[in-house]
Amino acid sequence: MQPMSRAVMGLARLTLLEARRTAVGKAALAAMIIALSLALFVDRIVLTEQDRATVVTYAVIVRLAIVLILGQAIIANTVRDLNERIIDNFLALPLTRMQYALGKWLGWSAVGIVCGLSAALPLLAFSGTPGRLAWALSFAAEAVVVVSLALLLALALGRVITAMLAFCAMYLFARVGFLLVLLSANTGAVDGTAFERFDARYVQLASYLLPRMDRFADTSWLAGGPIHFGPDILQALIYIALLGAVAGIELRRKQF
Amino acid sequence: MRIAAQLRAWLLLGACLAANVLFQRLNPPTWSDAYVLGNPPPTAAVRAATLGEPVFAGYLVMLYVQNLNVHLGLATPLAAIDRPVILRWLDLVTDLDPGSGYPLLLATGHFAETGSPEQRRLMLDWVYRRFEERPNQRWEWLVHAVYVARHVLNDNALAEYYAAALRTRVTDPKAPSWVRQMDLLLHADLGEAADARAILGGLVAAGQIRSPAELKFLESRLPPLKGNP
Repeated sequence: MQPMSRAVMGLARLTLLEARRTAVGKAALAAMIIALSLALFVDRIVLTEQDRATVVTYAVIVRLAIVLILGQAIIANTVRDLNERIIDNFLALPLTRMQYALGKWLGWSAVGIVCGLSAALPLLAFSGTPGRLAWALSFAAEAVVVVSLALLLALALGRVITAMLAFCAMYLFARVGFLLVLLSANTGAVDGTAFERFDARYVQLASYLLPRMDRFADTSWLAGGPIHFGPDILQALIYIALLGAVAGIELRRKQF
Repeated sequence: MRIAAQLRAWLLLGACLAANVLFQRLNPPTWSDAYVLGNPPPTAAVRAATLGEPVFAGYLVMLYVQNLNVHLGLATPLAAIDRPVILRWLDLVTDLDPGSGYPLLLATGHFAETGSPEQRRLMLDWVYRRFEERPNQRWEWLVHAVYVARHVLNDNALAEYYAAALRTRVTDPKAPSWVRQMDLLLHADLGEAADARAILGGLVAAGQIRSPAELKFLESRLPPLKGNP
């Protein structure tokens, strides 16, 4: 293995160790237990389709919780590296800034994939539920996109609150952006003069800049709906490459 | 000294916790005007509010509609709730999650079994309309509607109409054979021998009764034709 690759892999391993020490796994486990408890409560109060309602409730809550845990952990960790000049120690190694980011990304992506797949484990208890494997894989892909976004925002913005706010705003818009675009089309907001169409256009423009997060880990797959898994992977690849390109520009511009 | 300080801190925490528990006990959550059910929000707004999770949104709305008449154990009569508004809420859930039978269950098993006959008919009509969209998925709710029409409303014509729809519209081979035979059994139960025999003939001709034992059973349920011993 080349010294450079070894350094990148070493950094990835260090990131995994960091995730373990900052109890990301324990937080994810707590989120899963809370989501499962709420889902089992729903099981007690619905009148019919108990398993379906339980699975759907668990999936919705655990998905959002894991995404927020990953975002928070990555942003806090990366900003601390920047503020405490820990990054200087890494850059003293034969590493470029991009390779530093790559090492961190590999480590956090592994954490994201483990969290995503672990979150699907309780679904094994619901044997009649369709689409569990597709949901788990799709959620793991979503976790990698989320990791990439959080890492880029932390490196670019350098402040926990600002980066976390940007992360939440972008993630929420990525989840509901398609609805806003549909709404603007259905309600005639895209008609009229260029000035009148301005607000509909910037919603559309914003949707072009963000991934279609609503396509990932679709809860309707667990409720018997048709499964479209392929486009998820394509969307994840496209958007991770896009974030990588942005990181390339940002890290060249940045003075750590 | 340090132990005393620690004890004081724990005592303070305990006192604050007890105060909070007391406050919650003295101020239980209350629902005001829970039975005044307004129009539902637009489907797109509900989807957006739940981050594009229509199935989950459907269950949340159903839990709201299911419990809207219960005010801390004091139940508001379901008959007092405006049926057309309820139907709009049930439409919202069916549009959000077409694969769910929950709104159909509430319509047949909850709202159609209470209220005036007009209110009940309104709910059954809604179930029938929604059944027509997906007969192979929603037949079980129309089966319940047949029961409500026959035994709760005592409207045999309506029950026969729904049973005929079950016989002609349900084509899924996985649906139990009695679903399509319900029309026959209903006519037999009502003593309409000629109609029942005609339906049985139709079922046999369509190849929907393959087992001789099943045919024998159905024939045993037929009333004798008038004029025959």
